[in-house]
Formats: sequence, C-alpha cells, structure tokens
Amino acid sequence: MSVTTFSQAPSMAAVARFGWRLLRRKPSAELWLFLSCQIFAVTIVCGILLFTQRIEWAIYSENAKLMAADLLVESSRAIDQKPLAQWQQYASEQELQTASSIRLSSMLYFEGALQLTEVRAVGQAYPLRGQLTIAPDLSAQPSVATVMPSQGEVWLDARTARGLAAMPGDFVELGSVRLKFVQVLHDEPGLVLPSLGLSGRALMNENDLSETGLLSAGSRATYTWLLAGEHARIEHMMQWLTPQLGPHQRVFSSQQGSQRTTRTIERAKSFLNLGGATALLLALVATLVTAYKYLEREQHSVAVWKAAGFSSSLLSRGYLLQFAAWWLGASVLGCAAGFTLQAAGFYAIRDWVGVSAGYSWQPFILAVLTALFCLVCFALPVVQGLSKVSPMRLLRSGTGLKGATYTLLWLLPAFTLLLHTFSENWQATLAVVGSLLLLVIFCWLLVALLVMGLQRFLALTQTKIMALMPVVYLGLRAFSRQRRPSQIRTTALAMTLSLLVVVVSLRSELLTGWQAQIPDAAPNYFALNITESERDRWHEYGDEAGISSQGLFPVARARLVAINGQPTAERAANNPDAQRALSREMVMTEAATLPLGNKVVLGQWHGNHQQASVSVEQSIAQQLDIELGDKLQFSFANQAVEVEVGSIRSLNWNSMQPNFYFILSPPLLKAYPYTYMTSFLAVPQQADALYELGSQFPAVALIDVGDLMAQVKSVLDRVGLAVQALAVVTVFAALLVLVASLRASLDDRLHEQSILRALGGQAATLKRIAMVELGFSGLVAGLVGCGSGALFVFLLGRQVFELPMALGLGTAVWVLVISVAAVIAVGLAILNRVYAVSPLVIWRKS
Amino acid sequence: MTTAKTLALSAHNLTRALQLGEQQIEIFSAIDFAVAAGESCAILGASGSGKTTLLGVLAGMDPPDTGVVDVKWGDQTFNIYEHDEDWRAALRGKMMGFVFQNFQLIPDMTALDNVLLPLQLLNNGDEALAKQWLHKVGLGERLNHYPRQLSGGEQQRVALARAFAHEPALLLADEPTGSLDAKTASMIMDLLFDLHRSTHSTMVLVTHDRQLAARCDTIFELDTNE
Repeated sequence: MSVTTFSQAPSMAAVARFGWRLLRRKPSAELWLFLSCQIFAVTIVCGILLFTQRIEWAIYSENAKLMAADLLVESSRAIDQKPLAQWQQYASEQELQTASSIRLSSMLYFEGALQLTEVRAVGQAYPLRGQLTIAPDLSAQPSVATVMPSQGEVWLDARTARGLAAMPGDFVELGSVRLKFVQVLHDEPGLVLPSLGLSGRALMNENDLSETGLLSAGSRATYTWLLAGEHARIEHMMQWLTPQLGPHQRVFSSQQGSQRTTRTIERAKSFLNLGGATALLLALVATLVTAYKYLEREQHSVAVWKAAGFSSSLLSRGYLLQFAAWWLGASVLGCAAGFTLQAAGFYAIRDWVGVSAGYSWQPFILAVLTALFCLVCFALPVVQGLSKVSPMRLLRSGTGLKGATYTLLWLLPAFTLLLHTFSENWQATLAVVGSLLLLVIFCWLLVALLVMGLQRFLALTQTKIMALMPVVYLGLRAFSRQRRPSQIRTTALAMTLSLLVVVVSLRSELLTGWQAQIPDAAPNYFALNITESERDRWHEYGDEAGISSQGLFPVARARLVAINGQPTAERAANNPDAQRALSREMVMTEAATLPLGNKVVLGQWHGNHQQASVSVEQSIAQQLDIELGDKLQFSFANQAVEVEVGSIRSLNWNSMQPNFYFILSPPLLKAYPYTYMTSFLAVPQQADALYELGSQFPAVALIDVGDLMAQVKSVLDRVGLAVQALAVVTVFAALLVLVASLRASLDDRLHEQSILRALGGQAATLKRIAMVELGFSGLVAGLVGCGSGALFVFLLGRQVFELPMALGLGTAVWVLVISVAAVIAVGLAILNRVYAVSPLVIWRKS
Repeated sequence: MTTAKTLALSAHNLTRALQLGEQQIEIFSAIDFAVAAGESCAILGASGSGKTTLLGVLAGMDPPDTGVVDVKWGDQTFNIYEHDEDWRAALRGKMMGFVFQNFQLIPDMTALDNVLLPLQLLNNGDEALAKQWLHKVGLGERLNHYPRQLSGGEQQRVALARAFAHEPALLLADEPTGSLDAKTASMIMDLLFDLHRSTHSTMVLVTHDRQLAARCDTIFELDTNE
C-alpha cells in the first residue's frame, strides 16, 4: 500500500508552467497601472541620478578647469620635501597625475618701465585640467598652448606687456634673471582663487625661479601642488591628505569649487534628493493603492484555483515568478526610459555643459533595486493576501486583505534603507522618513476629523440641504459615507499635494534665491591699491569713462594678535579653523556708514562716534569666539591698536562688493598706511576704457572676476534646469497617485452609478453629484496638503536649506484650485465611461 | 404620486445583437411584447435566452438594434427610444421601480439610505416615506443596518422597499429570487405580488421558473437562439 504525500512542494516545472499561465493572461487595468508606476519609479531614479551625477561631474569638471586640477594643496610656505615625497608616492599608487606651481608677486622691469605682476612658475605638466591660450603677439588670435614656457622664457598677459611697453622677442627682467617674452598669455586656469593685489600676469618655467632670487626666506609666495584623476580616487586622496596638512596649508577640490557654487550645488543636491525621494514615494503610494485593487481582483481567480486543488505554495511561487518577470521588464524599460530622458536633458543643455561627462553603474543598480522594492511593495501584500486565506473565505468575503496589512509594517524600514542608498546619509534619511511618517499621520488625522465633521454636519442639516441643494447634499453624502476609501484617497492626495507644495515652493525659493545671488549689474572688477592722491582722479576718470565704482573703501592689512589681552595663538590652540583665520593678515577698513548689504545683528553700529570701536562679521566672530564688548588688539605694520567690539554684522558674501570681516570706526585706520579698494561693472565694450584706466593708474591692481561670475551663473542655470525638471516629474508622480487612487475605486463606482442610473438618475445629475464629491475630496486634500506643506516648507527652509521660506497665500490658493480642478477633471475622465455605457453592460461584467 | 393602472408597455419588432470581437451574436430578433396597465407579465426563458437584455431594452437602458418600445401613459403613447438617455432616466426615476437578482444595494449605505436614494434622486428626500416602506416589508427594526448585516432575504426586501418607495407605475423584476433559498424565495415572491396588487402597478417579471411565471397574468417565453 502506498502513501500519497499531499504536502509535497511543487516542482519547478509546475511553478514555471503556472507562472507562464499567469503572464499570458490579458493584463487588467490594475496591472497596467502597476507596471506604469514601477516603470515610472525606475525611470525617476535612473534618470534623476544619471542626470544629477552627470551635471555634478560637469560642474566639477568646470571647477577643475578653473583650478587647473581636480585637487590642489596650497601652502604659504614651501612644502617640505619629506611629506611631499610621501604624498607623491601615494598619489602615484592612486594613479593620479601631479604637477606643481609657485605663485608670487614681483616687479618686472623692461627698459626702465616697472610693472607689478603676478608670476606663476610651472613645469611642463601644468595645467592638469583646463587649457591655457596664448598668442604670438598682442593682436593675434589666441590658440591653445600645447607646451609650457621653456627655461629662459616668459609669457606675459596683454596688460603687463602694455604696461612695460614690451613686445614678443624682448627680454624682461625678473629679480636677477632675464627672460625672453615669447607669447602673449590670454586665458589661464587657476583664476578661481585670485590673490588680491595684482592684476598683471606672467607665466615662466619653474626651473628659472630659483635663479631669480625671489624665493628668499620671508618672501610671500604661494606653493601649489596639483592633482588630477578619477573622481573616487580624488575623493579618497583628499580624505587621506586633509589630516596631514599643516596650519599654512589648505586643500581645495573641484568638488568643493568656490564657496558660492558649493553652497548652490549642496542645496540643489538636497533638493534633487528630496524631490527624487518624493517622486519615488508617490510612485510607491500609487503602487500600493494599485496593489490592493489588484489583490481584490485576483482573489476570485485564486479561490477558483485553490478550490481546483492548486496548493498555496504553487500559487505563491507562480505569482512570485510572474512578479519577477515584471520586475525584469520594468527594470529594463525604466532604465532605458531614464537613460533616454537624461540623455535628452543633457542634449538640451549641451552648450552649457560643454564636456562629455561619463556614466557610472550606480544609478542603474539603484534603479533596479528600486524596481525590486516597488515589486516587494506590490507583490508581498498580494502573495500573502492570496495564499494565506482559505478558498471559502476568498469566495465568501469581500476582500481577504487582512493578512496583507501586516506586511506594510516592514515596508517602512525597507523604504528607509532604499532612501539611505540614495542619500548616503543616515541623518537626512531618518529626517525624511520621520517627516513623511508625521506627514501621513497628520494628514490622516486631519482628513478623519474633517470627514467626521462633515458627517455630523450632514446629519444635522440633512433636510434643509436636501431641500435647497439636493445635488450638493448627495455629493457630500457620497464623500462622507464612503468614509474609509474617501479617507485613504484624500490622505494620499493630501500627502501628494503637501509634497508637491514643498517641491514647488523650494523650487521657486531656490531659483529666486540663486538669481538674486548674482544680480545682472553685479560688479565684475575689483580695483586695489588706489592711493589717497589718486582718489579724486579715479572718480573723475570713472565718470568720464562711464565706469561707476561702488564706493571707495580705505584698506590696510593687519593681524589680530590678542582678544581681551589673551594672545590669539593661545586662544586658537585647539581650533584649526581659527588658527587658519589668524595665520594671515586681514584686510581692514573703516566706515562711518554701514556698507550696503551689511546688517547689524548684535550691538550698535558705531557711526561717527569718537570711541575706538570695531564691527565684526558674525561668522568670524563665532569662529574666534568674539563677543560684544571684547577688546581686540590689531597689529598694523607692527603698531598695536586696541578697539572694543561695538557690533556684530551679517553680510551677503555673494554681493560681489568689497566685504570685510572687521570694520573700524573712523578715523582709526587712516592713522596707518592705507590705500583704497573698490569694485565696478565694466562691459566688454569698455575694454579700451579699462586699458586706459590701467595706463592712467599703473599702480592700481585690477582683478577681473567676470570668469568666476560666469562660472557661478552657469552652474546656477544648470541646477535651475534640473530643479525645474524635477518639479515637473513630481507633478507627474502626483497625477499618477491621483489616477491610481481614483482607478482603484472605479469598479465600485461603476456598479453604484449603474444602480443609480437604473433607478432613474440622469447622467447630468449623476455627473454633478460626482463633481461635488470629487471637488470636496480635492478641497479637503488641498487644505490638508497646504497646511502640512506650509509647515514642511517652513521647517525645511530653516533646517536644511537655510532659507527663510514660507508658503505664500497665492501659492496656497493655486494649490487649492488646482487640487479641486485636477481631482474633478481626472475623476470625470475616469468615470466618464460610467455614463456612456448601459448599466446592463456593467452588471453583466460584475 | 399614484400612477397605477395608467401605464402599459409594448414593444414591436425588437432585435438585439452583441458584437463579440468579429462575431455578432444575435440575442433575440423580431420580438413583439406587450403588457397591459396594472397587469403582470412573466418573461420566461432559459439561461442565455436574452431575458435580462430584453428587460433592459424595455426599461430604456439598452437601445435595441431595431424596433420600438412604447409606453402608454394615460392617453399618450411615447416611443421611449425617440428620446435621449436623460429623458429615459427621468422616466425610470418617476415611473419605474427595479428589483434585481443580486439585490444591487449600495454596500456603504444603510437600509434606510438605500430606500431613500431614488426618492432623493427625485428631489424628494422623504425619510418618513422610506421608513414607512421599510416597515411595510418587515424591516422597521433594521433601518440603520448595512447590507452586509442583513440576510439575502432581508436585502431583497430592502430592494423591494426601494423599488416601491416612489410608487412606480411599472415594476421591473429580474430573477428576484435567483439568489435566495426556496423558502425565502417564496416569501419574497408573495411580498412582491402583494405589493404589485396593492399599488396597482404594472409588473414585468423575468424568471426561468415556470411555477413562478404561472402566477403572472401573462407569460412571454423567449427561445434560446441555437
């Protein structure tokens, strides 16, 4: 007698056959919607990550061009050979290219003419990034330099050449060597960190520098060690190098760029991460909504299969196989769509980007993981819901969803993990997840409260409203009686709107903020070393040439030597940032009037009071722990002066105006040797006037910051575009949620509307009732979304973006209007077939 | 609104076919049908013979491919398919009541709300009338119960109350006992005929049960198109 084992696991072939049978079925609307959500999620992740990564790389590459390297170490003293050899060794192990340069200011002589020039001595490896352009004479078109100056040669820029009246072929003197002027120097990388004080430029071979005798002890030269290579290796090198740097050394990476671009990129990345996470979350919400509908639809088929003897494990595995096939399909399609979208986006801005930024696998891997996550969101509730309930229960009960609800519990940690994979920052991830949880709870409670309030209101006023506005009554009644679905749908919509409000508000705040950073009329030149005797003439010349300066500031260099009698060296012993700030002389000014863009945040502006007082910029005050009333001792050319801190100021460092850490009360500064500095805007058509300015004021140093500004503007334009694109993607995701949530209730609505039509409801009346119901749903979602969104905008602005942000009334009204209109429009579009098809057809199908 | 005994229904040369892919399936063709005012008529036929489709056509919910459906209302006669869907819906709302095989109650509405619904669609939210009808069908104690809290027989009684609440001149019933056990079915049919008689309405009853059909004044039998 044989014993049959009924609990035997199904064979792979049986699972494959069943999975294949499931796949071959005609896809239902829920399945299409689910696949769309999944493909959309993958597209978002892949597209956004690829796009931002390439934009980021393009920006870094641009920064690198300006820096002449991906990473550089700058030192105010010659870098010791021993550590340098170690660094070189490590750099070569990391397969990084290296080069060095020395920059100093010195006088160039030619036939009795003198010109103060910034000289850079370089080897043949320079520059590692970017290009130099040179021309054989002053009037020739520049071309890219393929080699650097040979020994005995020097390249001069046009300003220096004109100042010296030297022509290519002439020999100019630098210290104790004579160098042949062979090329006119035009564009040059490395200008992102201009040294204040000099405007003429010269480039020479590094081997000639020692013979000049200019590198004596105490000479003010800047030694730069440059590196270039692959992104990850550069990042690694930076991490390795930073702790080894001395107090006179600083490291810059192209990923840091200038302060302005860095902050902008950080904000943009925060926004893109948040926006991406939002869009992804919305896609997941849509997926979940669809999943439950799909589950409802599938349970009948499963019940039939179970009744026919299919085991739970065969069904589970078969469904899992089907889901795996969807995962594969959605991953491939989503990645292809994401890649195409970012490629199209990149193509659209190819003129700005101008570099062929590469790709990494990371976005594709993350996108596929996202698809997997989406699938888990979808598959687990379905598989669990369908396999754990008996066929009788499935046949008799309405839903059979209870078992599936618990799977949602572990989706939260899974989502957290996925988000962390995006942001690579636990703090940010937990903040986002926590905020979203709060948002869900907040929206749910608020919607529940409103629905309960409506129910109570309708119960009290039923007869009156029914008599006055029957359609309104029936619409509101339809909303309030389907309490749970209404609440779920409205909460999902409210959350969607809330996130949309956040994304749209941030977008406009960031764009406005960035545009305001560099106004069109921002100065693009700084002028230094204007003497007291030249002051009036400078004004006169400026008026004649149409170049108006932003105000002349008397400046002198000084060191902060003591605070409240305590030497600063002691005070900053444990603070490397403070040490760095104190290691250099600072440019000081005096002013009776608070300069434009400055704001006193503590104390009182000194004005014209005779008491010696100083106003301190707040970031340096924090760094050096300076408080109101502290006594600061400065050393001006070895003469000490003590002043009391009268105020702490904030200022806009992006204003392109001369800005100062310390502003003394007049006439303190003018007791010491001083010159004036100013800034002004010069358009390209004023090139001749600028040249004339150089001739009229040969000792005045002009610094062109136009390139730097152009770079900042270009970065802002790029990230602005990405931000705009993401806002559009989020709106699309929000629409997806709306469609999914309305689609999920379509069957019930079809059935209900067909009954109403059979009972004599006219299509127009039923449409109006539906409009009231949908409109109210949109209104509640809009109100709750605006409320929670406003709170989030405020908090995010304060905590993450450091911008004073608030949801404007205009935006709130727009959100409400759009919410109501969108829900009605999408709802009616979906429900339209209810009114077009005979109730009989619907009954036959149900 | 007491409209009983004033509505008669007739149909001539009705044809209805369904398009399934490239294949056209004829459900019925060249049918003539009539029921006099205040009388009851059973449409009898096997499954798939087109009984429900014919009922839908007679109710103005499903236009026929050919033929006319006339409603005689007092001295006036209307071909209902000469009018648009909204007109026909208004006609159904005012003059017709429906009873369905699967009750077709709205699940998230109480028994009272379900009965109130057709009244509200007529801008007449007369709660007292709805309650009165629920009492009449024996559900006076179950006013605030939801369909899921009621048995099949009770649900069908709610459906009957809903069908009669606005005192229709024509009652259309589609296999009203199809989902019920024999005992409950018998009780429901007794109730249906009682209400039909007491309201003097015209009734069209779709059934496959010959015994049940025999209780009607006339029988109209549909053949299966094989």
